[in-house]
Amino acid sequence: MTITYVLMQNLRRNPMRTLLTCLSFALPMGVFVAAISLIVAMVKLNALNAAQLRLAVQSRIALVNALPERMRAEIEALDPDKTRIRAVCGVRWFGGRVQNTPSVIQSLGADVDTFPLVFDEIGWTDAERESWAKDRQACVVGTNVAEQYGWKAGDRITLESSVPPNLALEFHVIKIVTTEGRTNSLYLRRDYFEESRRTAGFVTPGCNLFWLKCSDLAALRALQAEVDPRFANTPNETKTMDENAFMANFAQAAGDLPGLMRAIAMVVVFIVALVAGNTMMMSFRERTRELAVFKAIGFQGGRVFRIVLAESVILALVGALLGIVPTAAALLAFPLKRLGFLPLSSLEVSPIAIGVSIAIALLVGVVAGLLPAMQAYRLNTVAALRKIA
Amino acid sequence: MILPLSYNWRNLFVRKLSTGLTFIVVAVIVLVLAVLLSFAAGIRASLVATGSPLNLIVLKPGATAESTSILQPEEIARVVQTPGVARQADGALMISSEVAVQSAIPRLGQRDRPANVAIRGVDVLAYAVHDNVRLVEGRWPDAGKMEVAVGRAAQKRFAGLRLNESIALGRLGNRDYTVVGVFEADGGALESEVWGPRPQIQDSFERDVVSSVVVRLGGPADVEPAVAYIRSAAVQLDAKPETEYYRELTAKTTEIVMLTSVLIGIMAVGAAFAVANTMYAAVDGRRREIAMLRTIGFSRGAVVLSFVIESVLICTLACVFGLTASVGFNGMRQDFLSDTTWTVLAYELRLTPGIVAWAFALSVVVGVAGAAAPALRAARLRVIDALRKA
Repeated sequence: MTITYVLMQNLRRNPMRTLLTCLSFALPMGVFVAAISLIVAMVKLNALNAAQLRLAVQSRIALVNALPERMRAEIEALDPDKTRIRAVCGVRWFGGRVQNTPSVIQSLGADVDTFPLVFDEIGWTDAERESWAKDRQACVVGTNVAEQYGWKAGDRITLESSVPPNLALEFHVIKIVTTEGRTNSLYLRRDYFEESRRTAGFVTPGCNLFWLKCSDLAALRALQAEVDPRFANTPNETKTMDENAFMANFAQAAGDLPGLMRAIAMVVVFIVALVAGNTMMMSFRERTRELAVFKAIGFQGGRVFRIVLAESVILALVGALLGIVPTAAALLAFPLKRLGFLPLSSLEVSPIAIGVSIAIALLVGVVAGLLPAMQAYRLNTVAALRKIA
Repeated sequence: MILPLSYNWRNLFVRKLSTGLTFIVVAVIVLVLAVLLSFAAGIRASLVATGSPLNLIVLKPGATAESTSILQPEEIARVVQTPGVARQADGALMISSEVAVQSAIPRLGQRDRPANVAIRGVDVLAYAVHDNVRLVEGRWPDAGKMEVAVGRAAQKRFAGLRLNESIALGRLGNRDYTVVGVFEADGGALESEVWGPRPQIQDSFERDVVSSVVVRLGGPADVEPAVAYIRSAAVQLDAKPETEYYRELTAKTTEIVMLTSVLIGIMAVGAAFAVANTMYAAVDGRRREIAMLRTIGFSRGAVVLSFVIESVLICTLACVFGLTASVGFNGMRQDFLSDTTWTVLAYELRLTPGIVAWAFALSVVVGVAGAAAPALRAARLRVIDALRKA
């Protein structure tokens, strides 16, 4: 009689309970794996951004305050021998939307010369770099945006800006960006944007933000400390942040979803642990006599201990899988693209999240089974056999 | 004949651990549900309570919010002709030109985390046009003086906004304004704002045009013709009732609330299974007892009812517990960044009667759903067999 056989018999003796336990495990674990996936995606995105060594320089007062174009040269002058700053790219919010649709696309005008340098991770081919440099109406579109509107490279599109002077401009899609973390925005050429603004009577060009691409981490830290003092007591005081700190300002717009997810994940683990513990204790109590018989016919305490513990762990694992698989499938079938901000919009169940979930399930299974298993181990055979169940 | 409630009550304490664990599961789920819904209710209240259906917000077509709209003087001149505009006692048209700007103000107790707060430059007329805005402390800023009134929600969430304190505002953040008044707006979005005299705010923020015009109408019947007129070729601007404008700002929040509701729903189903499990154990452990009850004359229905009552009892008690715990979060101050205006809205968590009702409904459903199958099994028990078995 193998331990596997005993286990299978045990799980089958009360199929209803096995099923209920698995399900009460599966549902919260389904939520858990999604929450963990989101957290993992956040951490990954942060790491990706951090690896890009970019600093964001904005007005100290408000992002909407445009900074004059000349500040780019002033920032570049902080590093005259070009050892610390790779490139500086000014960007201006365009906030375009397709006519007669309510949602504003994350769209920004970027400096034509430095944009490919500062955002080099989006994988430029020589041909793309050339069309960006030559075509004034060029725009680079994140794949999530492109999919939503059915655009592909080579398309001509018209976007209406949601900021004054509400220009409707035509663009050529020269590149679809699939790089992780860059899939939700659209970049156009700021020179084209500024010229159109000038025609509409808005004669002062400017940038909401300057992106600094630094050569290494030490340079980034040093520059972060240098930029703000450089513009202190000028009409354009600045606030300099690394990319993740800058992005964190916007994550809040989603009602702090990542924070919420963390809280939910913790609650889920707690609930699942309680449910599993409850079940294991119930089935142990029911089987006290049986375990006593096992011991009476010569099973060692250690072996009985393992039988009880293994049952708990198997229940937890099966339950976890029942939750993880449907969640992963659901997210693949119905991505949350509509929610529009990263990383939620491209959320999928990641291998790391599955690993973490299974590890948590294992842990919960062990913890829940430990007490009953200990009781089984210490079971006083004679007393248990004497008792009439 | 129905089994006495005291039977159920005493039964709860027979399997203390098992009942206790189920109790905690339900209580935790209720707690999470209540807190999440309080968040949602707080945000929604701050937006829905804003504005009057008789006020139209006039914006530049294509602008998504006041902060991205600019109106030229000649455009405002055309709005004056709108039919149905209400008048003040002195005959003045109730049309308020306003400038919406923003400035970084630190959150209370978090000096290093400034929030983008909406600053509104208004004329004296605005206090009458926004009829749900009431001064509760101090006075309104004097026209022509560097003074501001602050919303109650803003004052409670952001630093340096107490009466007589001075706050640096402006495009360069170098103009000192004195806080002279505090206003309320039925908890609406305007309460998260700072209001100052329009010429001063415009000058400090280097704005020579206004952002929006708020038009107060005489009655509900005037809304449709007025909107049609402003959108027509005669004016060529965009108008919508204030209530609708603020409702659109909540669209994203509604999505988030829906998402969390789905998550809570899934966990509630999980909880129902947990409850079912406990009740199964209760039934299994009590086979002889049930058979005895049947023998002395209790009907199947009475037995089923008794189990359902027991389960609902656990769940509602847990619900009370969870709700009590969630009261601790009630009134907590939070803020969120609108992705349309890019300014923050301060709000407080609200545990509304609706949420309490939802929590109770959930726990009763979980209780009944969890007990149904085990109770039916109890009822189907063959009395003779159960009694015979030792």
